[in-house]
Amino acid sequence: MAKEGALHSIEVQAARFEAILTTARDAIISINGDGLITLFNRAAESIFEFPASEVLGKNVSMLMPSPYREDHDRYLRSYQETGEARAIGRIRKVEGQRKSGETFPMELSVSEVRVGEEILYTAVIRDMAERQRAQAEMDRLRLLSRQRERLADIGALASKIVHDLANPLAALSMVSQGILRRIERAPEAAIETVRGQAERLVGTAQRLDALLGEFKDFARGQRLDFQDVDVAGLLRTVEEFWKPEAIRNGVVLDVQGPAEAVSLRADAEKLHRVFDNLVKNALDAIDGPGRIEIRVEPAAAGRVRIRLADSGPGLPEGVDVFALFETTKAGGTGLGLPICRQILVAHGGDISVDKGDSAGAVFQIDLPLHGTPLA
Amino acid sequence: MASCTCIPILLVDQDHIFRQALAENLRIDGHEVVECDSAEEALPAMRARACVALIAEYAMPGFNGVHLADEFRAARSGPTLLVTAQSSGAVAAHVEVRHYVRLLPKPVAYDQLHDVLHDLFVVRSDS
Repeated sequence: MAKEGALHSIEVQAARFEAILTTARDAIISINGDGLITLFNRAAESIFEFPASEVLGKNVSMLMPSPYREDHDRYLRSYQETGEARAIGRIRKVEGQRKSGETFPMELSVSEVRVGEEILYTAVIRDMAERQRAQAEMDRLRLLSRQRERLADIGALASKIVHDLANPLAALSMVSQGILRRIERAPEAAIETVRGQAERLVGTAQRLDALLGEFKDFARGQRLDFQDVDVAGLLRTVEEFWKPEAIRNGVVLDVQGPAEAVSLRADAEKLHRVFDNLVKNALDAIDGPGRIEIRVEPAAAGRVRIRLADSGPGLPEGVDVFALFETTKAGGTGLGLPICRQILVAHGGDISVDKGDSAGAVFQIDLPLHGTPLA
Repeated sequence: MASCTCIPILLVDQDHIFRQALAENLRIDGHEVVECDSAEEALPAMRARACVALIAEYAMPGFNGVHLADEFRAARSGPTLLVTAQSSGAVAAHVEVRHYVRLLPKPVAYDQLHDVLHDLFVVRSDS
């Protein structure tokens, strides 16, 4: 009974082992001390493209390309003599060779077991070719996707440039045609009328130039000239510059610097430009009597936060004003705020926008006190 | 360039330089031109003034030129010439279904604009 029980247990163990060998996705190959193949599972047959009957009893080096093939017996002997392992106990990346002659990358782990007097070496092998192919395909698709995004961006930019340039060009063209038609019909009388139209031509050309300047600015990216900037001084300059226009528009421009002196490393001219853009946008948005407040707020250590709030109508829902070409202004390029963000990010800071408590928009600028230029 | 009966024209474009230059050219040809810089200004003007044709920009904040053309058609039974830098298929599709609207891209040659206006006015007179 005990003998039958033991036999049954052995049969069960063998069946389990067989099931594992058969169902494993990785190749499992055993060799004896002479390097001859004693076990070659179904996955090994699939990976190496040899039926087991063609490899059992043969030297395992037949599954290797040069130089592994020529060196394997020597490595095996060296290990058996010195105990110095090259493959045993570690995962190695090597090359295998299929029956077709195709070589392929594989991951190999080898273990050693003694069964009585016999030493068996068992390798578990993973075919990495498919994984590499899949990775290469993913990389290719990723690159393609990035290229398509860039092309779409370029397409959007080109479309934007065409559209934004067409309007001032149309104005230039129509003014010029008017001048010519006046001169043709009544040359002597044309002089004074033509002067006014010529002035409009100059104004339109300047407008085109400003437009091109914005595109150039954005395309160029931000190179910063770092210096010590007194935040209170910067805000005072902004206030002095914009106060006359604010007064003309009936807007109260209320600027309060920090309670204590705050100095930060920044490009003063570029930061001024950011505030110019925000104040101008606020004045345009308010379009009549209203209020713009600029405050320095408490921030995390080593940083400064500046808040600009206006009493305008606020920003429309679902509009990302920092996205390229998003504009709420007729004739706007949609580059002003993206350029502002570009400048602030180049300083190591950022800008965000939210709704005001009662109305309007609130912009928050966050900057490090000791900024370093981004590479 | 086709000869044209001088007609009172409602001209709507927020680009004041283009609008004034086009108005100037139309006045050289003897047309009376009522200028507006927005749809908001144009809507009461089209009811108050006896203009028989509308020239407008398509892309105006809050109220595009096709909507304005529909309003003008209802108010004055008149045709519309849209002059615009917007060249999308959607704009053309909007215009195609309206026999009383034509579309010209900016920049535009005045002579071409005048000829299209003439055709539109003649078509309008016949329909």
